[in-house]
Amino acid sequence: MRRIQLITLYAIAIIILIMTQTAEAHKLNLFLITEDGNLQVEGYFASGAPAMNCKVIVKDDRTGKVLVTGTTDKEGVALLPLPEGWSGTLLVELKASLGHMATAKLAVQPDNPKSDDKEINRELSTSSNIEGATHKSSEPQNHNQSVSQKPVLHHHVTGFSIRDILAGIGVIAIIYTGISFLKKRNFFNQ
Amino acid sequence: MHISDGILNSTVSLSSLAVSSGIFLWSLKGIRNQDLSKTALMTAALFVGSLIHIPVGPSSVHLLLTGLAGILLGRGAYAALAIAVALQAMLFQFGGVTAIGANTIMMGIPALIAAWLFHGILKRFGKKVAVPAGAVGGAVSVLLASLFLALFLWITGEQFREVAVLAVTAQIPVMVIEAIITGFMAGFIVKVKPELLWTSNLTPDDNKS
Repeated sequence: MRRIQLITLYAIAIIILIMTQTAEAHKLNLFLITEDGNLQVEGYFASGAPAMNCKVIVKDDRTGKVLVTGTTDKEGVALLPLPEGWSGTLLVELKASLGHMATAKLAVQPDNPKSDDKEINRELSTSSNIEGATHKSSEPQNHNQSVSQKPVLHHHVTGFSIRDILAGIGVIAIIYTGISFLKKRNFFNQ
Repeated sequence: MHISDGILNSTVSLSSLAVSSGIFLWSLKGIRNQDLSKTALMTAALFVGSLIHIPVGPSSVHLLLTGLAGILLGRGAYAALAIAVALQAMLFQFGGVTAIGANTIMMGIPALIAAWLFHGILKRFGKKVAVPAGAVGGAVSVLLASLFLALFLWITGEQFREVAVLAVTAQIPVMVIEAIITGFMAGFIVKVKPELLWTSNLTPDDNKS
């Protein structure tokens, strides 16, 4: 009878696990867009929640001098004016509270610092580096962007699906059934 | 309040994992057979508890429940937290897999200290002080957890020192919330079902008083 109960418990836990899909990583995605001499910074989490009220610091990558700072709005967007005629490599830092700290580099060529081109980088994965960006115009690429993301502390904004939570509880049931099994055989007292 | 992958250097990561594994086995050994279901239930509560977020200003904080875990499970709290932290890292990427050791130490040792504090106070002053004793346990566990977090970040590198300071200050509201929750929970449990408490350092008389 006891064995049947144990097998049933395992079966339930395994069914829950099979039903479950792995939760998506809670990544901070960073988009940089340059337009009319302005830098638009967009930050949002993989869940779709915007990284709102996050501090944005734009520095000269070479000297470390802060060029402009700002804060993202409720949509996770900050529009920052770049210094007129400025060229070089920008270092953009997005500080999402305790959640994530993302950094991005953007090289601005001296020949066309106020390009109308929009430059959009793809979604970033943790600690990844992406060189270059997708240009919407046929003109030669005048920006070179490399972005890296370094989450310091995980800090969730949105909830999780019931399925993910049930999976975790199922695994907990399995683990403690195993511990109970081992304890009954004095495994930990050997 | 979980450290992500790629933050801690390999020395800190591996040494914390080694220390944490030792404490985990010690903790597992200390769980009595009759307490296994309670420990499993508390593990599930810890696992889910961290997913409940409370908005605080532009950010949000989540419950830790480490103090409550310590009060209820005593020595077994470390094992419960280790399992909860590992599952959060693997299922939700909530904290890094390489930082499981550090994250477990960060939550587990404060839980053990909270247990020691709570039961020490209860043993000395009786169950009438269960609410303040629980509140102290809850608050101290959060404070210590944030200090451990700050310490890990501090020794990792200069670039994280600003975050380390922020990590401690951001936990002040959590400290207050956890103190209230743990205090009332402890008071309620002591009044209604005191046998739920971890009582290995209490005599039966203490528990009845």
